[in-house]
Parts: sequence; C-alpha cells; structure tokens
Amino acid sequence: MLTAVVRTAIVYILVIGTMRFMGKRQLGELQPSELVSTILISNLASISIESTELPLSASIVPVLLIAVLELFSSALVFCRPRLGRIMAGSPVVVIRNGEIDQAALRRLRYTAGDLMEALRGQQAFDPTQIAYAAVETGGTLSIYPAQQPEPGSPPVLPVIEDGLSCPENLRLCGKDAAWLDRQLQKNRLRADQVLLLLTDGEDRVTLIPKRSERG
Amino acid sequence: MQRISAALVILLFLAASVLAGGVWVDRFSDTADAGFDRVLAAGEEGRFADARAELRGLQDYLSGCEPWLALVIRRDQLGQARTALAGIQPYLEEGYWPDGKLELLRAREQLHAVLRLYRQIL
Repeated sequence: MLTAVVRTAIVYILVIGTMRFMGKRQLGELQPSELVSTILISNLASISIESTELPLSASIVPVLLIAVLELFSSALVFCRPRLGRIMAGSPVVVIRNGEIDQAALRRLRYTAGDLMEALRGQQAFDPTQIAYAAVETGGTLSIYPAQQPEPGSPPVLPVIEDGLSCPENLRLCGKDAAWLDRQLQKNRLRADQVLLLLTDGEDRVTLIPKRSERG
Repeated sequence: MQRISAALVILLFLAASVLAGGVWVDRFSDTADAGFDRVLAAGEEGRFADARAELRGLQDYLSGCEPWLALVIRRDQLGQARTALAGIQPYLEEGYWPDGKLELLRAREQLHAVLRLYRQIL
C-alpha cells in the first residue's frame, strides 16, 4: 500500500511538472503531435501506479523522453515552418464571402451539420453572413463575420442539413412540411440535393444546393 | 529557448542514466557470476562449508543490490531469482552435490535471464 501511495505521489508530481515543462500550448487547443504526447503520457504515468512490480523508471524515463521529443519537435517546427505544415497541416478555408466551399468540406469530412454546429459555437448562425471561416489545424473554426446581426433579430436556423430536414428547427421557425415542399419546388430541387436550407422564420430564406465532387 | 536547453539537459541525463544502468547491471552480473563460480569451485572440491559461506555471501550481495536493481528491472522477477538462490543451501552437502550443482546452474541462468530484461529492446 505504501508503495502505491509513494509511487502515485511521485508520478503525480512528474506529470504536473512535465505538462508545465511542455508549456501553455499543451493545455489549450491540441495539435496532433501534442494530442499524441498527452495520451501517451497519461497512459505511461498510470503503468507504474497500477503495476507495482514494474520499476518506477518504466514510467519516468518514457514520460520525460516524450516531453523532450515534444519540445524538440516544436522547436524544429518553429525553425522550419514547412515541417510544421507536414506535422500539423494547415488551416482550411470553408467559407469565403458567404459562400461555403463544399469541396473543402468534403476534404475535411465535415458535414453541413458539423459546420453549422461549429458556427453556432462562434455565435454565428447564418453562413451567408460570414466573410471568412477557416478550420484551424487544431480542429476549431475561426470566423470573420461580414456583418453583425441586428440585436433582437430572430436567429437563422437550418431546416435542411445535408439533405435531411430538421423538424425541430422547422417548428421553432413556425413553418411546416408543406412550406418546406414549396421552397424545394420553387428551386426545382429534391431535399437530398440540398446542402443547407436556412430561414429566420420570416421572409429570409437561404438555400445552398449540394455541388457534385467535380464542383 | 530556455525550455529547449532544459530539454537537452534532460535528454543527456536520460542517456547517461540508461548507460549507467547498463554498466551497473553488467557489473552486478559479473560480481554475481564470480560468486557463483566460487560456490561451484568449492562444491567441486568438496569444501561444502566454504560453498555454503560463499552462497550466503552471494545472497547477501543480491539482497543488498535488489532495491537498486528494482529501479531498472521488474521487482517480481528479482524476487523469484532471490527465492531460487535461497533454496540451494540444503543441497550443499556431501551426498546432494549433483543436485546442488544443477540448482546452482539453474539459479545462475535465472538471474542472467532477469538481468537480460534490461537490455531487451523489442
């Protein structure tokens, strides 16, 4: 029992020290290499706590080595940005001047639902009101709005996402299936041909059709 | 850049620790081997009292080194090697020497196998 107590205390101090040593970057949004090192460190740290027959060095040495490799790789990326692009990728623009880049979404395997969710996370509800949006290397979405919505104006909600209707949003907008059918007929599209159909429940309706992979 | 310097120091420390551990395990292995050789020689010459004393010395040496060896080698394996050594004492008698020799050789091989764990890479 004493072994477990002492080992846990040592490993706790080691992991706290290691995370501090790796710096603030490790504690915020994670890059791929940082995510890998964080997962490995958490697993390695638990080894010597769980298995008291193993030497403590079985955790200490690999944890320190991973911290050192992580710092070296971040220093290398700092000195050679091209290497950073290989290791972490680069931001991908998904909305430009209110227009969704569907090819970029396909490359990222981002559905329209994912995009709308990420936009809502940035307090943006209408992609047509976004001047620029990019998915960062850490997976977060950064946006630059073209214009701020007027305070108190009704939110723009998707009533079709990736060809599937959203009955809850339809109800919130005070619309029904017949209204949706009329919108589709007006644009001579079927629901499965629509990437997004947005409305604020009043006179504003935005329909973005799906584009084929060839654009 | 301070962190990079610190990382370099840690890397050097790790490399030095691994090398020092290797040297230390080798030295322990050589000393233990010499101890086994002395027990075997005394047994072959029929000096069983000397053989028992040498074996006790070997056990004491292993017990003394075990806490440090446990920093780099599995604790349970070291314990098994020590237990194997402890069971040989009654065989170091006139009529039991062939069995005693066999047990000594087995214990030596077991200790070697444990020490080899340190150098196993894959």
